[in-house]
Amino acid sequence: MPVEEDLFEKLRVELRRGSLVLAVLGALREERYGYTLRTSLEEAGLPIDEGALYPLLRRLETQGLLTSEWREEARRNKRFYRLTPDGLHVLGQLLAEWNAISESILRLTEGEK
Amino acid sequence: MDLIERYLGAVRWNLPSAKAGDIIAELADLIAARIEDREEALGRPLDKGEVSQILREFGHPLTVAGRYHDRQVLIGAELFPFYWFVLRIMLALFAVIEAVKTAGRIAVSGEPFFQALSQGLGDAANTLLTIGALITLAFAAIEQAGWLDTYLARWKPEELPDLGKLRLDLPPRKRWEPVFEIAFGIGFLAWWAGAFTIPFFPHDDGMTITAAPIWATLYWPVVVLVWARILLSLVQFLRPAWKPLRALLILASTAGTLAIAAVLHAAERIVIVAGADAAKVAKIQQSLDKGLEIAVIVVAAISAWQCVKELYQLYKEPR
Repeated sequence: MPVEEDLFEKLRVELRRGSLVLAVLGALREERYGYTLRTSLEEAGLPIDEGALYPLLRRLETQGLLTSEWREEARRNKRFYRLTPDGLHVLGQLLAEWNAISESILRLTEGEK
Repeated sequence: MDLIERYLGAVRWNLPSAKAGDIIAELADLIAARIEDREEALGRPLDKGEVSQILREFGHPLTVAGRYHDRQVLIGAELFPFYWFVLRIMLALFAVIEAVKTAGRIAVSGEPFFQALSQGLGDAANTLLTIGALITLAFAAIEQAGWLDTYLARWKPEELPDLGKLRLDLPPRKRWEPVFEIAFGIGFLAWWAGAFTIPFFPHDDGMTITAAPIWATLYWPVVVLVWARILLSLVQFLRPAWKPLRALLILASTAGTLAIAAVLHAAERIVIVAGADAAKVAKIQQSLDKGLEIAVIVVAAISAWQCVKELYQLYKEPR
């Protein structure tokens, strides 16, 4: 029986949810403004709902992984985010974990190819 | 612009107040950026419908604001199975208690059947809703305090109730006996506390039979005694291996029953008969005094015999 489309969608969303923190931290190694962060994630193939992205940025900032500041650009006040040294350290740890998971999954599914 | 202000106003209303200004400023900027992008792509200003569509894409104000709150669920996925378990057990237990109370009311209160039934069902609905609400609030507090993590870090398989063994080894009647005893015990306490009344005697000829003042003295001893029996049933159901505690509770509740019987035996009257016909009142009072005096002795004897029987059964239980 084929897997139902909405079930696949649910599993896909679940799978991507954890990886978004990694993507956001990775993208913020260089300073970005919220809106351009979202477009760059989208261009990289990881579109994220705005309603989820900005609260996530706030949470990461509260956790001390990001820092932000308001600056005027193109005649508008914008909030710019970037990684803190702690954020950079956590990003390194998460990337190592990500690679380990990826390798494990590859090993486990090699026979499927 | 009016639409955007209205949208942002609705979001602000539900934001944590300390951060509201900052968050709204950022959202306003993001919406403006989104509109600019769309206008640039289309080469013309957006109309009201298109702005409305962009706001819809941002999400409902309650959803958007909710995501900025630290707490987004009342009871999380990890705590939910515990909540659901406790809720089902407690609702089932109180449903039995309410059924006992309603049955008692129908059988002895003298109210018309449908009046007693509807009153009982109303009370039951009230109780069950209150219990459900209190358990939900308690678990919301547990979620907030993070007590589940503390519990999960230190629970041991040895502490789990021995329900599997209890269910497999015993015949169905014995298996659920403690649960019914608990329900009846709580139903009795509800009656004792005045949740519903049972007239002692039919109200004919203006004759009434009421409890003697000695029962006021015995109010708390009876409550403690019934709670001791409820506790015994609970231990028997959840921790059958705690034999010393079970033996202690059996002995204590029997001692309590005997002490109450002794007080009743020593009392001049257990019930008081009142009425217009003095000769008839005296006659009924005398026969009731005699009958109840014997009943108290019989109850004390049965209680002592029951104690010996329960202790013997406890001793003979495997393990």
